[in-house]
Amino acid sequence: MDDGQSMAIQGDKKIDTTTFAQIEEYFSSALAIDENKRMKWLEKALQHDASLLREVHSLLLAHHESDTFLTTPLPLKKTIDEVTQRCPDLTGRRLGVYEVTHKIARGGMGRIYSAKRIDGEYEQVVAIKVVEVANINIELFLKERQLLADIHHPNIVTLLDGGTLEEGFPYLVMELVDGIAIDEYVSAHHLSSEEIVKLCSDLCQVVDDAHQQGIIHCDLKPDNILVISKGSRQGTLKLLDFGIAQSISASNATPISKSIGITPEYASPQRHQRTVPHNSDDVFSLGVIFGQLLSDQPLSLIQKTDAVKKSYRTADINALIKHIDNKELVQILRKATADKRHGRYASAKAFQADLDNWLDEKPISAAQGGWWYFYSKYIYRYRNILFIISIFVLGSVTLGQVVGQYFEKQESEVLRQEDAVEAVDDLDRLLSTIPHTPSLEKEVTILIVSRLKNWEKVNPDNPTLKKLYAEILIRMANISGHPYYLNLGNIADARSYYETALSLYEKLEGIEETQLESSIQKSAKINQIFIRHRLAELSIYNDASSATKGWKAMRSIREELNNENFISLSRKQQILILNMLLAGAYESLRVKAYEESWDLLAKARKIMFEEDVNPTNRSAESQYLHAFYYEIKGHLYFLEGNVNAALSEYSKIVRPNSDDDLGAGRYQYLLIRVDSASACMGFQQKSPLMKAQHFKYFDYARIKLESLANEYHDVPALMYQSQRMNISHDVRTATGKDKFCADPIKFLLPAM
Amino acid sequence: MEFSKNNSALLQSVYPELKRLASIYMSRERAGHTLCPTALVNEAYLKLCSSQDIESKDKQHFLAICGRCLRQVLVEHSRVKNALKRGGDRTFMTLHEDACGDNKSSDLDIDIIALEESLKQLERLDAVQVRVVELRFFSGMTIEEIANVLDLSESTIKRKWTMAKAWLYKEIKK
Repeated sequence: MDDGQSMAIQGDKKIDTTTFAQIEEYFSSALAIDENKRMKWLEKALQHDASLLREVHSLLLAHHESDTFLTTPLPLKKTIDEVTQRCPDLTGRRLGVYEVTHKIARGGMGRIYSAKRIDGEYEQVVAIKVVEVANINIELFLKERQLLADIHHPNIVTLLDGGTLEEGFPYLVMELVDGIAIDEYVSAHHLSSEEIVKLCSDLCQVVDDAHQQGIIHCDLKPDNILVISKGSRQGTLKLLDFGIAQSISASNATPISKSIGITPEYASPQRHQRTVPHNSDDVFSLGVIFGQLLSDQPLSLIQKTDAVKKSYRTADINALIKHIDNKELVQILRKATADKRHGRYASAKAFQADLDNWLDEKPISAAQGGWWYFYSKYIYRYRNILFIISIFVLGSVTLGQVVGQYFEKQESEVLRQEDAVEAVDDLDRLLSTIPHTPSLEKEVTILIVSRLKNWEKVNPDNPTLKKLYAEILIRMANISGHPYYLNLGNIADARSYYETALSLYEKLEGIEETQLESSIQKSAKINQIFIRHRLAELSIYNDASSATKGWKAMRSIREELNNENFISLSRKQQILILNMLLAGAYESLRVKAYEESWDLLAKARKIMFEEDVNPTNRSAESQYLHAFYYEIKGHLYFLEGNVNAALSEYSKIVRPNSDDDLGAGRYQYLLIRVDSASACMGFQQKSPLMKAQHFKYFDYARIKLESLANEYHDVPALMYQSQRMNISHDVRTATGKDKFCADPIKFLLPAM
Repeated sequence: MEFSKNNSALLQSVYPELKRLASIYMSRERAGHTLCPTALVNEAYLKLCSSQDIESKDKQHFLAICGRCLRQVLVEHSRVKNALKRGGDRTFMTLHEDACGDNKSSDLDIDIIALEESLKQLERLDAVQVRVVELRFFSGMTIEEIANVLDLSESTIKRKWTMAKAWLYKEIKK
């Protein structure tokens, strides 16, 4: 900004220091004069200098208005005062029934003393931990106290008592553990690999138990893991220092939980980025500890760079691996310390299971066998598994051929309903275990589809099988070509899957009349409507001529819904209705039917928030629908030109902690659309500065989209969008970017 | 006021620390996270000073330095925040500070950048007024303490403070 503009201007003349001193003089003198006479005095004193008078006058006015301005200082001093308050040495002091004997250690947050019980009841030596600094850490400390009081576990240090010193410092009385840090223990006792694996397996168990109770430790390191080294309990683990542990159930996004320091050697990449703590952060730390113990090497740090080009230092796992001979243990270590959450063991329990597998000489899940390795592991639960595996191992046939032969063999058999349910369960478990592209998901799902198809044929009267089959078909349709999913771009396939599912629900309605309750019949009915709506949605994306038909169909389905009397819908049925309402609202954007869109949103809102549960308890489906709702609302505001309102709606979309939570690819795609929309908001900004900044988001969004498009290389919509963004980027000018942003419909809605 | 030279080491260590912490605060992934000076200073202080006792005279200097650092950090933070309401896969930051969950710092609702620009102008007109604002608002010192540090009379400090407050208010509201 030009000085001429920013300087205080008096008439056309800049104020210099002399004038300023004069202003101050008159201003202060005027303030000293009684308020009633003040103006009179001032006018008289400055009668020859109108501009000075104006200046002082306006300052006096500002003085009256600025009553509260800047009067509350930032809490710097208070904070420092609190922080510098020192806790006295407690040696010799009596706290409750304990007398402090001597100091044992001093940590980042406080001191630890040894104390003994002196009430004569019985002899007991305890540890007393007192926090030295006040303010924010006290809250942490109290939290630790509560956490410890909540946990009862033989391998987690027991809390005996707690209180607050006269000086205001809180303290904990804990069981005194006569043990040494796990790494010292391992080297002192020259443990073998098997013994180390066993010890780590126990450790995983303890950590998993804590997770089960809703507690993430967040600072696992050898110093916090003691092993009792003598006596009858030798080898028993004791976990200490839940100083920064997080209670999963408590609000986990408080500034406190995020302001905590980390131990870089053991912290996961996500902790380095200070994301909200997650079980998988502990899994990572456990992995590093495992590697350290196994390799018997000191940890070294290595520089790494995260997705947003920020560097951080973390344990150098590869350096450890050089010292580990066993290939499978290396695989386990790699999996436990994978950079990405979804590449890591999903839980401490899963980590433990693999350690136990190794001990039992069973195949480990971390083995680099490709996806079929996992598949074969899960398919193990089917009968005749040896048949599959043997063919697989013997010949270089494709999995499809193998399974084809397998099912050929099974075709005539009448299978139990439980088998089908189990097969679908297996499928879900399998898919949640491995990161997968839609084509992989399709390839695996199709195995179940063909099996269900046969079962359905053999058991035409079994409603459960029909439902299962129909549900799987809908999933197949979604990933094959439903525009809202990360899909394979095959609309024709999607259509035929939906149609088959539709016919199943029709049949279901038929048999149910005599055999089943009306509630299930109602469900079949709603499912039919839902699928017909999905087919109409597909039509919109098919081609221009069918789009019009799609519109009409969607409208008439909505009318039909209005006429149907669906009382007391189940949650599942409500979700189907919500899907339709939101899809309707969403697609209305395409034809600028904003009124209609608002109307449908309002309807959806009524259902959605009717019995809204705590956001953390929402099902994945419900989570998605909420996000979808805010997305549409944001887009509506955006299209109506209200950028700030749009940003505010987008900001209500919950961003899952990790990619694992993103579900069937819909959520991920939704976030991309929202990112693109915000990237394009620069063009609505008037100031050149804001414009430039939005170009920055544009580049962020572009890079993110590009990496997703690489990851999901089989999703044409992503590829297409990424190319569009990259072409705009290559021009490297505002107009270039403008090309991508020029037509909002092209990034607010899935590509046609 | 000039901070004595032996404080420059302190200054050198405080500023990067505050800056580093501020950037960590800003990089938090979830929506609604704003810079919280209390937590910031707390961390910086703990990191730098908890191991050594600070004499009360030094403490005032430290406080003054921290105040100045905090001013810089807040300005940088606001600039970057305005510039980058979101970055990478981060979500939006709210446009207004939501006062870190406690309501103590509601004064943060003031536009830090506008304040900074006005302070810079004021610096040219009356540097002492700027020091007073720093010590009063950013460091949170009392008039008496400021008089001590700046070696001026309390009445002068009071006068400078009243004037600075009115002038800044007028400039920002202009």
